[in-house]
Amino acid sequence: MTNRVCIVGIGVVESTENTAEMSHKDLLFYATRRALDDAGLERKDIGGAITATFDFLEGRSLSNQYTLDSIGGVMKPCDLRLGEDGIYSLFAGYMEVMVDPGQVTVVASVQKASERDPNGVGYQKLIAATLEPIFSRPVCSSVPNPGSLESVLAAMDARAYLNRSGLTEQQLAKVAAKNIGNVIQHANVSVPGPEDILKSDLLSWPIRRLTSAKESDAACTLILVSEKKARTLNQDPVFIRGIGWCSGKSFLASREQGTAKETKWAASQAYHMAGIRCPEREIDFAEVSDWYAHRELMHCEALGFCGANSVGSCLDEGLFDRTGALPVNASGGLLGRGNAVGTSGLIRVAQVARRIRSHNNGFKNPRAEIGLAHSWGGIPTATAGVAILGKW
Amino acid sequence: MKLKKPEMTINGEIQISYNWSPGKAGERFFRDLRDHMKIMGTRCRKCSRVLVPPRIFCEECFTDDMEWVEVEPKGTLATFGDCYFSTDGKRLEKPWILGIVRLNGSNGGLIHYIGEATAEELKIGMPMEIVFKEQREGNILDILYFRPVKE
Ligand SMILES: [Zn+2]
Repeated sequence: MTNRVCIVGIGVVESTENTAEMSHKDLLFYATRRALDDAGLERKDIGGAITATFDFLEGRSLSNQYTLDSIGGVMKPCDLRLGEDGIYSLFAGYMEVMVDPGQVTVVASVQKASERDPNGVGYQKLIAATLEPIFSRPVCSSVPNPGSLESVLAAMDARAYLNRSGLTEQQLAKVAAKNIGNVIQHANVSVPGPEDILKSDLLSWPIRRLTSAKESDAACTLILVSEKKARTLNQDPVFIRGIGWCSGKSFLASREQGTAKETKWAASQAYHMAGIRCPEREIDFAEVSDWYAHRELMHCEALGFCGANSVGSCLDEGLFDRTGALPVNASGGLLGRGNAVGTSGLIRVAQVARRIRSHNNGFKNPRAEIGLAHSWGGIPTATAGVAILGKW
Repeated sequence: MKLKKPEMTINGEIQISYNWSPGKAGERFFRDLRDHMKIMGTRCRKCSRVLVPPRIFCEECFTDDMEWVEVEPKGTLATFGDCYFSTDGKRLEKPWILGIVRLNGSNGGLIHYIGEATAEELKIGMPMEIVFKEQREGNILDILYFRPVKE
């Protein structure tokens, strides 16, 4: 490829900042302002603006009409809205830059979970609403305690996976302890061990309070340009070497339970594009959806990180640790940092890009040059996106 | 980490109701379920897969060359999850269970309640059967729940 697409600007606002005092529009503005500053660009330079997240979650219909001014996209030639996780805005932005290599494209996503339903069952109602309405929804929306619907559906997914793979609850606790530990290792706080994770509230076996990610607020904006255009800017570009996305069968009950086929397919597209044949050797580190602890393992397996070994033995041998050969969720992942549903996939891309850029990335192998970002749509979807980023 | 709330908020709500069409296949499924306690599926004449819930097209062969077949009200348990809490967080005396059951002779499955069993008694892959409601109305809740097949 002669004119590759790269990321030259990264802007993220997460719950660690006081997001309560920022409106939905402010959050996205700050993410975008930071991304422009990072790239050394201004609003006048923007050619196209793309947002992706779920309108239903935001509580705003046609929400791109509402967020466009926060990403500098008013009266720009290309405004595009995707009803998918934020990582899809990266995919669409990639294609826009391929079509017009002179263009600066802003891709963005925002989620303000703290605005939704003070009584706390709003998310559960939305989950019921994402189920097919004729055969599944009447059952799932009639459960005696709607507040538990998400954990019960997640438990069904986890139980089928554990049954198939032979993984144990202790191994799920290990994943959660690893990711939570990755966030707080520098702070003056004690890191919970797997035994502490197993003491957290059991929501629906094997889903526990600490093996499922908590919702959070966040906004993320990335600036994409062509390689040629990047040479005119001061920021070090991070190259998008491969992208892929895929969705499985729409009807939950007709899918094979406890598998992540869509992730496998999305990854195979991205690997093909990036020329990666042996992911367990060629991928230096990854940010993978750990919405629930079992999902990190299911996804690592589907992404081909284990080669001929079992995912359980890879975990037990520390392969995915921060100091391991293929660190997974060194950022803390969704379990450690919180899950801004519908935006978190783009944030994973931002985290991978930042780590590729940094000279001291905190890994045993400081020359980590190829990183993978993965996103999953969450219960009850079967949709996944994969992006492979590189220094070159 | 509890999400902080701002001092001032503006309250809002979206409430819209819908009347979903179950389509031709759904209509027949619910009519036979209501009137005859039968589970109907559609078989693709090209790939022979039997779809339950039925559809008038096969998404693999991408054809509407389908025929109706009756399916046994029995299947195997693909997975399940149980809930032990009431809305106010108190422990339930009798947890409720949701499960996915693959119906015998079909490529499909239904998500529904599991009854007459505790989670400890259930095992993935075990045979299950449908318990129908007495007074049926023509919707998926005409199935009361699945229960393990009694020997
Ligand atoms: Zn067919």
